[in-house]
Amino acid sequence: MHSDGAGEIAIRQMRQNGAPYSFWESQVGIWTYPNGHSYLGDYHDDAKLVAALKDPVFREYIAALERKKGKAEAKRVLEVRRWNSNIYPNVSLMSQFQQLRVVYPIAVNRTVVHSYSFRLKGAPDQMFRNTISFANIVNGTGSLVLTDDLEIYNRLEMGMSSEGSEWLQIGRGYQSDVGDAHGGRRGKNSTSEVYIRNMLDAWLGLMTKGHAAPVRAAS
Amino acid sequence: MLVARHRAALRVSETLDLNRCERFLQHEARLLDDGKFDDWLALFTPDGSYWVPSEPDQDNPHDTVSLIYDDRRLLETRVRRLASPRIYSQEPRSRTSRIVSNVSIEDGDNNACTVRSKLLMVEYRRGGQRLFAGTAFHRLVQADGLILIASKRVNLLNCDAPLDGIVVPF
Repeated sequence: MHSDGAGEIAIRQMRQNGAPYSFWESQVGIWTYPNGHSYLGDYHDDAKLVAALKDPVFREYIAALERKKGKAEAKRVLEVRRWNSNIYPNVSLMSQFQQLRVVYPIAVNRTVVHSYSFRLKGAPDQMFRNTISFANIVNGTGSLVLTDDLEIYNRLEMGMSSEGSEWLQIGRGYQSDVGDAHGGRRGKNSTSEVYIRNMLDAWLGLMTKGHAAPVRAAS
Repeated sequence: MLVARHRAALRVSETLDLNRCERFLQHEARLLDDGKFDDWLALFTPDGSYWVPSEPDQDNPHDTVSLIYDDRRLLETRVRRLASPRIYSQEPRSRTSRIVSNVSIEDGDNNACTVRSKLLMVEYRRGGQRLFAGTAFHRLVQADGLILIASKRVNLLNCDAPLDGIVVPF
């Protein structure tokens, strides 16, 4: 099948998205921090990533990074393998793909997301092209991944505008979340809704300027 | 088997003139409106591409993000997905109605040419109707009497506006 290389990262990404439920339950973590921030721990096998260690483009990038920062610092940088870093209330970073997203709430039924792709100084040109391909397939308006996501967002909106249910259930993982040394709580696995509870907790704090009944224990 | 009928209708020696190109584009539009995406895919060359830029006058699909940029492999993936019962964004399915007009041949010879056309597509889905307008550029090639799409670029009028998902191809 003909490929000009544009689909390479996209195919990898779609395969990864299709990982079985047990994978998300057992190999992926989610961490939350005070003030609503959180990140989803990397679940990628390096061999499947754009940052695949054996990929010649990525090897070239590592070499350039080592020349600039030294081996130890390069290693430290490369070992930060987070998927999504979410900065409350509306910024999301996908550092592995040099991408920043900003979520703009326009109205209760209208949200616009801006995606920014970054070119790394001194990195091989192909790395940026991979970043673009990733954005095309994951964030593009016509992407194979995002279109189904948008459909689900729209359905959630329809559900919330109905009078069928007064409360949203966001308790998944509640009983198995654990505290961590940074003052946050960590989901036992990535399917915990701890990060949603954490965001609402921060929101409540801002809305009440700290006068609300303490709910952090419940987050 | 629209493809086969299309093949039978052509004479090997025919040149790629405006009339044939226009009929070809209308045939393509009809396949898409009818949801015959496999037949649509069959109109592309084995190394064909489908591109919807995100910026007016976008120079290339590699250095700037696009609404859609599919090489042949991604295009096959897209079409396979359109046939999947688990494509939530097409549950319910869209209905589309498109008009292809103002067709002109920009450059080319008897066996390959670039065709420019205007496209209007109305999409109806789950109570909402959307209107897309744009200019399409088809690079058409002729092989064994068959016209095939080597590349297709669709410049949407509102390509840089916030848009809800685009699932049905233009």
